[in-house]
Amino acid sequence: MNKQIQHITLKSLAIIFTIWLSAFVYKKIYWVPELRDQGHMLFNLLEFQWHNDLLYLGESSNYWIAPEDTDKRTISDMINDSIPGMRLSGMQVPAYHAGMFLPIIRLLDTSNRVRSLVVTMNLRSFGQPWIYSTQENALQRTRCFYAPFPPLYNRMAATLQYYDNPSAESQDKKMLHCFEFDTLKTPFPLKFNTIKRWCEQEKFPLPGGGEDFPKRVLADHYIKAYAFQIDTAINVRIKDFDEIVRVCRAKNIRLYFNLLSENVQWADSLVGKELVYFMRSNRDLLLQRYSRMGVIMIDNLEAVPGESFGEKTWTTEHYDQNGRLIIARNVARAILQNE
Amino acid sequence: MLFNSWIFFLFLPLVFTGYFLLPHRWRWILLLLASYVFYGWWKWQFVIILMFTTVMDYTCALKIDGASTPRTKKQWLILSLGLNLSILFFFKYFYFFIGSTQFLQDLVNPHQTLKEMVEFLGKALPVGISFYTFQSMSYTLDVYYGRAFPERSLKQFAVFVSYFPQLVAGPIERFTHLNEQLKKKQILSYVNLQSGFRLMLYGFFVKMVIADNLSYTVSSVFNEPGKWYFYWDMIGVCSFAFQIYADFFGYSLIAQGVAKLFGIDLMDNFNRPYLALNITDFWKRWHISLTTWFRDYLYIPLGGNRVSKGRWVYNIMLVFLLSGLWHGANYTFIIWGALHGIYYLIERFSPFKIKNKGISMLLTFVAVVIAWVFFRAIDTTQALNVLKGMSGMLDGQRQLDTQPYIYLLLLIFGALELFRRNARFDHFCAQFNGLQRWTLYCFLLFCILVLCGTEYQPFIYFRF
Repeated sequence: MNKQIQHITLKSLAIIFTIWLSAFVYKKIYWVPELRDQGHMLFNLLEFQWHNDLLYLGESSNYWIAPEDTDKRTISDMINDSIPGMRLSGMQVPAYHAGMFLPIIRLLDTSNRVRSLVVTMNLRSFGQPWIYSTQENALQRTRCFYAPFPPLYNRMAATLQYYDNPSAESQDKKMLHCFEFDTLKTPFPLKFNTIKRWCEQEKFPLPGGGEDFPKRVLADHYIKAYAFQIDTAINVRIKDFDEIVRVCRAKNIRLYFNLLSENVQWADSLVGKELVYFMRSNRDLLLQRYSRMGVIMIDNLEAVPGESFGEKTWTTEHYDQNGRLIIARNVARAILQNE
Repeated sequence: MLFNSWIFFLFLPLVFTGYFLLPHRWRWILLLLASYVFYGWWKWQFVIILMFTTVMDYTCALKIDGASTPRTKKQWLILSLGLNLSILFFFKYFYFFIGSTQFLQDLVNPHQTLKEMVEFLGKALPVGISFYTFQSMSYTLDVYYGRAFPERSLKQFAVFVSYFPQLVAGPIERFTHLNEQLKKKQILSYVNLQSGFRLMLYGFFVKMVIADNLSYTVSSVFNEPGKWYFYWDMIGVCSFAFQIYADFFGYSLIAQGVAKLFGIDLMDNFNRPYLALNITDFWKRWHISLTTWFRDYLYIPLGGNRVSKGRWVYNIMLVFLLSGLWHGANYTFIIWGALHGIYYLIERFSPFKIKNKGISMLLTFVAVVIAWVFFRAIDTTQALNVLKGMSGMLDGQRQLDTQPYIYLLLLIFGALELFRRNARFDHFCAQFNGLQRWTLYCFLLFCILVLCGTEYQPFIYFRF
């Protein structure tokens, strides 16, 4: 019996030692190189937090450059050049949203140099197409690497799919359900009260008969992207931003929310005032909510003119050098006023 | 449910504990429920098809056994095979069949509902349908040929068809082998646990460390053939040969290991296939449960080799073409099967026999690898481009950025495979003393934890 217990103890110790050794070797040798591919924002954070007074958390809007741009600086570089005496670096990954920034902010070391954060706030990220995006799977997987657990544990969580892993089919289903059943409420009468009906009634007749199909597709896309009303009680993005505020408060970090520009001009000319109403009312809600919470809000929603948007056939927050400069100046001004 | 997912690591201990806590007469309920949960994890609707197959073959086998005349017997067999193959055809081949027939496309396309239905079928392939359909079909065939007595208990038969460790990717078990074990009262045994864990550990190593790490090289080469230097195309194609082997072999090992925990022995599905000396030998070593299925239920009933030469050639080509088609509804699989059939015939009719073992092993490997190109490619154009890339005809000029340690791991895997000879991994481990064994276990565990691929990689054979 004693011999058996001895054997079991030895075997258990061997397993525990192997796991400990694996965790040690992984952290020392493989973790950082793997983060470069799998968790890029944390890879940046590990270095940037020791050399910067401010960090700019963004997505593709930060680094997208129009082919004709002569000034190829990112928004964060432009901000950095406009705030003498302070150092700001940008950390960005395409398609990231507040739900991805949050775990990164949680990992920010309080003993470092960073005192303020500029967090990108993308209006579209509050809408159903983004919340129920099929990209969410990949993002959730990456999020495993940002969890506040030992790196090896995070790696195994990603490998064994220990994360919210909805199928593309179920994501689409939820999104379409919202389009069909979420009713839109306005102080003025609307001919349509759901996104589905709105899209169905949009028509773009051509003078010679038929329909301007590309324009219709774009209009549909605009409606789906912006025709929503943020419900602060259930919207997941609101919860993420609220949590960011709470974490920053606890870490004594000053917070700026940079509400990105949307192509309001296009939305107006393509779909009409009703759509602009939703964009503005959501903007107002966000400004009020987070200003009340002590966040410095930078309202860029209508700051960039329509011609400075990089892609004319899609809704993106990709700006040419002029657009990037406008946003950078607004952010820099807010920083200079508050730091 | 995937073996390499966190939910399985929760599921298995629960089922295992429940199984041995329950009295023998109730265990079937747990096994059946667990199997349906395991399968329904993908899509619960798939379970309905599985249940239908179960009830249908159960009934047909009883009718075959009770038939008073050979004619009625045959009719029930035809009904069983017809329904099984119809389900398989409907879910697996219907979309391909419509897509490759212009007349049917013209018929379907104007009708939106019909078109949507066909498109739905193209996406809704029930996981592992070919595996359990073949396993279930082998049962009715065995009953028909008098090789097995029909199972009188539907619950017992349902457990046989749906037994979760081997449900979605085999090994395709024979009724007489598996059902008897499932019926037997299994006792919790240290030896079974030891064997089971050894097989599972090695299976996870082979799948998660070897197969998953090779996928990057393979995808890069197949997605952009001709972009890389020709030797990268060659490495990519050879990597696929090892990826698919490690992937499927890994699955089979885990399945065997899991089954062993419950006291069940599943058949070996592989026997170091890349050490085959010729194509005949290769097929004795690769996906053994499918090869023997085709041999016993198709090749021999067709007359085997006791027929005229012309008829034998026809039989061989038919078996290989069908085994290609079994893998999926695509011309690439048919070409893959046809190539193996041609290799087999060339080997049989060739007047030259290579005496040097090394050379014949190498030639067999090259032939198999060329056929794999068609197996992996999404269409024949891609396959031809990869072959052109390998031969340097596409003039690719880029280096592929891969991690060299992957090839070191592959070498370690190769060495383990060489050293274990014909012994199954659990038996191979038994040859060493405790310290050596535990050093090997710890090494495998270390590799799984630190070096496994992190990208989501379902088992390749699931889609068959």
